Amino acid sequence: MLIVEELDVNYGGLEILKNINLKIEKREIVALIGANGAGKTTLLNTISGFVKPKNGKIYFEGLDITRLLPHEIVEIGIAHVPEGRRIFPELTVIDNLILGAFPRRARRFVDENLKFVFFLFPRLEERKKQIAKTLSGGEQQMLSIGRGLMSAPKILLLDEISLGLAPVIINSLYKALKIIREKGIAILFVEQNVRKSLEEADRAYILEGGKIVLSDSCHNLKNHHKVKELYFGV
Amino acid sequence: MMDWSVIIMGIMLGGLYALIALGLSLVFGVMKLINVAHGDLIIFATYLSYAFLTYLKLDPIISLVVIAPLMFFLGLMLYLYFFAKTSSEMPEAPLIIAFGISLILQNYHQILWSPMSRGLTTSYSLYSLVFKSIYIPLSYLLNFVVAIVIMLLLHIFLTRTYLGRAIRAASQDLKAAHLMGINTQKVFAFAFAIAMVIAAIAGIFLGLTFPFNPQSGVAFLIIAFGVVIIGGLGSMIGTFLGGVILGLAQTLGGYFLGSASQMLVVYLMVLLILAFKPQGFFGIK
Repeated sequence: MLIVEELDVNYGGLEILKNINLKIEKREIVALIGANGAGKTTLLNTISGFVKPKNGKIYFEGLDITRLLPHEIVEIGIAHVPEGRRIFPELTVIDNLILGAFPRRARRFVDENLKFVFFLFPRLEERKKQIAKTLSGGEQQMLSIGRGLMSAPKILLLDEISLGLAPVIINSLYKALKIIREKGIAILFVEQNVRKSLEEADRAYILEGGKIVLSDSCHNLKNHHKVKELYFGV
Repeated sequence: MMDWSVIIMGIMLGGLYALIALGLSLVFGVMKLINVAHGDLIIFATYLSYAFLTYLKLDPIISLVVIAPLMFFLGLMLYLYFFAKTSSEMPEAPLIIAFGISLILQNYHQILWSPMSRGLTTSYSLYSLVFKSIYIPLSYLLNFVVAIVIMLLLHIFLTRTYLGRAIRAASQDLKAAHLMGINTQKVFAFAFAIAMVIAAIAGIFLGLTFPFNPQSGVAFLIIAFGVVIIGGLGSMIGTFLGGVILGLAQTLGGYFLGSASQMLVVYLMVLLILAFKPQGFFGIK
């Protein structure tokens, strides 16, 4: 459903991404792995329209979305949960969630999606009247993901959802991703923890210096000599 | 014995001041733009109403039916074609443009209406209510009631509607607002247009209360800044109370020190608050 074709992205005269090819099917959970500065966040930002590529195309359900603006990309069903959560700090939890349903397409499903978000993250329902900045880090991450789901997406882009969180919370977030997938939503996530990524995803792309150096099913990647050498220190 | 009408008039005058400051506060709170043309845009609406009253014998409050949509449209155009276009080029540009608009309006008013002082004089603008020894001009009472109604409406709009929430979201995190599918330029244009409608309403009630001339915009801009400094930016209750405190300072200052020095008390208070509590009484951060 999402196809990235021969994508080159330059930023301030530097080549950040080179010849990226990537494909995600319905219900898939795909990980994007790489060191800091490998271009993972830039790739997500390019898909969601914040960064315009120099060359290459991005297709979503057969539609060329390369030149669409960020708010138009949300409208067609791509939700991006950004790095650092970026919740609206002065708004209540419920207002944050309702804003997630701003795209016209999503407004019809507000009640249904709200129910789903509260089913996934009951903590948010308990705290729905609270001002968002008073939530804990884990709750803010839940809110950020929940807000993304409110736009009734077909694909969810997640950027570093486990940053700075306790392992128990990280596990519960990834458990939630499995339930989200059951709704037919595809997931592309960026994660620094390679072991965790390979456990949670179906497939993974490994980025290095702006290029995809490896891509395969997580099962195969776990046993790949290069992955073992580079990331597991074997 | 203290004359109670002074206190009541001060509070009611505060309503008008809050109304004058509300648009300035909204525009700054949402798009971080200090609209120094705000006072002149208010006076622009006052003169429009004056024209309707003089040539068509149209009541100023009824003329809002035409002036409010006109100001809304003007706000959209100003934002989309001047502020939005230039803010991407350099961050200072919108401020300079606002200065330009201010100068153009002042001179346009001067040419069209002469520097003479004028007023929106209607059958009720000079009418006063009398309860025992308390005496309140009807226009002051109107200011107060209208200010409360407008603030309630704005509050409901900002907290209950999609567009209102989008305006608040875009003011807190622009990128995240984009990610929600919000067209932030459109939302900002709309917020600016709403501020212009509030300016139009403020302009008409100002004209019913005070005489005005082509330079009045500057004086009322300073009052708007004073309200915002006292109340703190970005807080509706703060703006309202800031207006009331300013109004009281002016009428009490006038009562005790004579009307020549009534504004002195106001400016001194603003100065003291800037020195000791620069975030205002209710401001965020």
